[in-house]
Amino acid sequence: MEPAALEAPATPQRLRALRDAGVLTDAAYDRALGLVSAPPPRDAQAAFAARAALILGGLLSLAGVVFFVAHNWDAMSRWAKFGVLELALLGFAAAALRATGQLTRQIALSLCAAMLGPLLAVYGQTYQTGADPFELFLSWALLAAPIAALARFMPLWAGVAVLLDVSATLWCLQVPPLDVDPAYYGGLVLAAVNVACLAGYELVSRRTTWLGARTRWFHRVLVAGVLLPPLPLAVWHLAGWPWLWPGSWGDASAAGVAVASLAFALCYRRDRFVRSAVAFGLIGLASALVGHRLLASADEPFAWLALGLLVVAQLTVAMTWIRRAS
Amino acid sequence: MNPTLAAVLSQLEREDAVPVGTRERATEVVAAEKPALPWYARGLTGVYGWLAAACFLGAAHFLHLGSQLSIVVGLAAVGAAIALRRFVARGFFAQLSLSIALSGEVLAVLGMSELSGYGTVWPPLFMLGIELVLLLAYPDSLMRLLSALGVCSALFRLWEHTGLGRDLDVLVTGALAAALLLFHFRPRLERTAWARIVTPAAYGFAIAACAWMLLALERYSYFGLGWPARIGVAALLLAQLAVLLPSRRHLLLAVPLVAALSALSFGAPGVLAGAALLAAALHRREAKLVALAAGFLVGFYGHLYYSMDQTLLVKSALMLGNAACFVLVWRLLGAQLVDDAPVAIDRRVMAMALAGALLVVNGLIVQKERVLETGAPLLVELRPVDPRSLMQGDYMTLRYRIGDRYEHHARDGRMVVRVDSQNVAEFARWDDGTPLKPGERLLRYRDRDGALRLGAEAFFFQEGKGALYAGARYGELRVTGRGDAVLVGLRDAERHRLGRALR
Repeated sequence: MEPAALEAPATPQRLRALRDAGVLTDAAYDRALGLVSAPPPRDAQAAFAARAALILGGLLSLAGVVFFVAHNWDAMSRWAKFGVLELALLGFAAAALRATGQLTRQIALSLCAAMLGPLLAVYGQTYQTGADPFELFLSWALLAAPIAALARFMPLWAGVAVLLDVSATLWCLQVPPLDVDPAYYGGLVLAAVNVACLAGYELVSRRTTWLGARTRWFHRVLVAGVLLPPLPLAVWHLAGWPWLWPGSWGDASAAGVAVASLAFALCYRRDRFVRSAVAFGLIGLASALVGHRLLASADEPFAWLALGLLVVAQLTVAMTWIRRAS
Repeated sequence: MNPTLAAVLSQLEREDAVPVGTRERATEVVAAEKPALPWYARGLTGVYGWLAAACFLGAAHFLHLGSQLSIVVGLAAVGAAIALRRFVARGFFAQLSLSIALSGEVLAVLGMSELSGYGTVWPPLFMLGIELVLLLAYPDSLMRLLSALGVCSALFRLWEHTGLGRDLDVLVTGALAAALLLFHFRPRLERTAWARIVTPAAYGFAIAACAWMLLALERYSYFGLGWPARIGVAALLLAQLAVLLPSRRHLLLAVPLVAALSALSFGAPGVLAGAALLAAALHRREAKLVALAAGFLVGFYGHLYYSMDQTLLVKSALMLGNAACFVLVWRLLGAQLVDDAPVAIDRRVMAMALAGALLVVNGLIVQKERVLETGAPLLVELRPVDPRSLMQGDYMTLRYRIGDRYEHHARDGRMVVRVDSQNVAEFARWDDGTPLKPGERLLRYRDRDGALRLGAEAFFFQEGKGALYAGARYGELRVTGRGDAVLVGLRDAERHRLGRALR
């Protein structure tokens, strides 16, 4: 069995380091560079190209359908539009059943779930139910979820999470539940939706295979989806910038980012992406808070210089912390 | 995508290129190496490095240095940053040197702009010089990437000064060609003094080519792309494929496909550029380049949706044509080759999921059709405006005069309207359960943010037919006895129907 260190990718930098340390002669280094820079074997190239073509073909087909639906062609009756889309949906389902490969099946099922969107869009166009109502995206997410479970395909689940985020955003804008500007609480609502998705992912993926194989990127995307939406308002509030006065909503956003950062740092201790996201949020909060105080109390050139040095110092600590996760 | 060190050392051992014991020594060296930062941590350094640089620039601004002193201080800062970074590779001073270099270059370029005038050729030339120095002398891949982007930005501004017009064909094709060439010749360049700048420079040119293509697609952009870019990018894709494909026969097969993609490309050859970057990523095992190409394609299609140079119908046909080309490629490559065996699928669950989805959607359709069937006609006066929705196309936002009610009312409820001989509705009172008088009907509403909504606040129409509905004065509803309404069409001031209506 190979030592773990040798399982690292043979990057040109690593090979250079081995040469500089005298482990590789110049000739061996040249040969090693030749090995790592050679194109992959033919069958691996064909596999990559075929996968890329299949994914591009699927996404372009879907985009073509969405553009066609958006054109809202008068000459086509509403029954023809509904019929074509429902037939396409069933066609993709049939293709998924007949598929002889897992990726082909997953892409066919993804297109099947994706067709629900244009179908609901045509329903909204036909009966004039309103532009981009949050119900459209929510219904799409809820109806696509069982198909995503069948596909066991994480990218499709990511699509469902995006639809939930879009519907939450539109809900805040279209049906404001509170008597204040939705910009003040929208970030917190989005963060809450993504916390729920993250909790659901952690619970379900450990017990069943409905979500497909566990991957690192899915929880990373959701962690970013929790930390980033409330951050701009929190920074704005702590920096004391004009035009927006979120008051306690600003405090709540800052507290939300801080608490979530702490929780994620504890839950995903060894994950460098999570540490980077946490560092991004915390440096933003701390710089805004200290910068506001500094600029209010010190001479301007000194305050800006001190703030710049503070940012660099925080960044140095963050980089050390991120490196330690590996 | 790179092979592991173990695999490379095994191959070298098989070829007797390394002595016995190399693995142990390599393990020691690699284990002792400080872990490199991943791309997202480098991105974090870049974002906050720029923030710190902005703070330093803020300090310089309040010191009122003047143009000549700004140039001197800026250049001195760049020099000091390079020297500092060459001595210190990590820690506070390494981070500090990045921010000093960034603030120094901006300060110097601003000083030069003030001195020579913002519209002259000198600021971009000066910027190009500083960026080239940083690219060559600053020993850090992130700074080199930023400098490569700075070089492209300076070239863009110089291009504006040439007066060669608003077409970006040469810039886009040139940047893409430079990126592909650098990736192609990287193995050779790795053995030279250029080894450390080749990858950041290649990514810088690739990012610039993508950004310029998106800029040319912007709705209100001054710049554009024409046939030369389409032909140039198609030629680059073919050249990249020529490197990859095993035989001339395969290349001959690829020519009609690339030609078809080129013919089916929209104002900008985004698909061709994305495919060329993907091919280069495959050739050089560059996972980050795959992500760049994917991100670019998503941005390209997002921009395309809102660009106004072709109708959505034409774009839809072009896109389906592109899709057909890629599906054909997939089939030609032997579709089954690439796939693992499928996991068994539960057909009953699948049937239930599909039946459930179709039942919900068709149930909603039946519900609306029933309103159309049984509802009475009602005309409601309007005050309209018109944008484009996320995925439903062009529409007119409707506000009903009947909704301008400021007295106290329930958040969701029904109002009673009085209907005249031409079915025009006027507000009578809020529904409190009192029986309706002759000529009165119920109309359901929701109060959203102080505005009364009737559930028909957008009128979707075929793309390009906005002018037909510009004279709309009434919304034509079908309203059931319970007050549920469906908007079926629009009418003008004389109550004549405009365009097609549902019923």
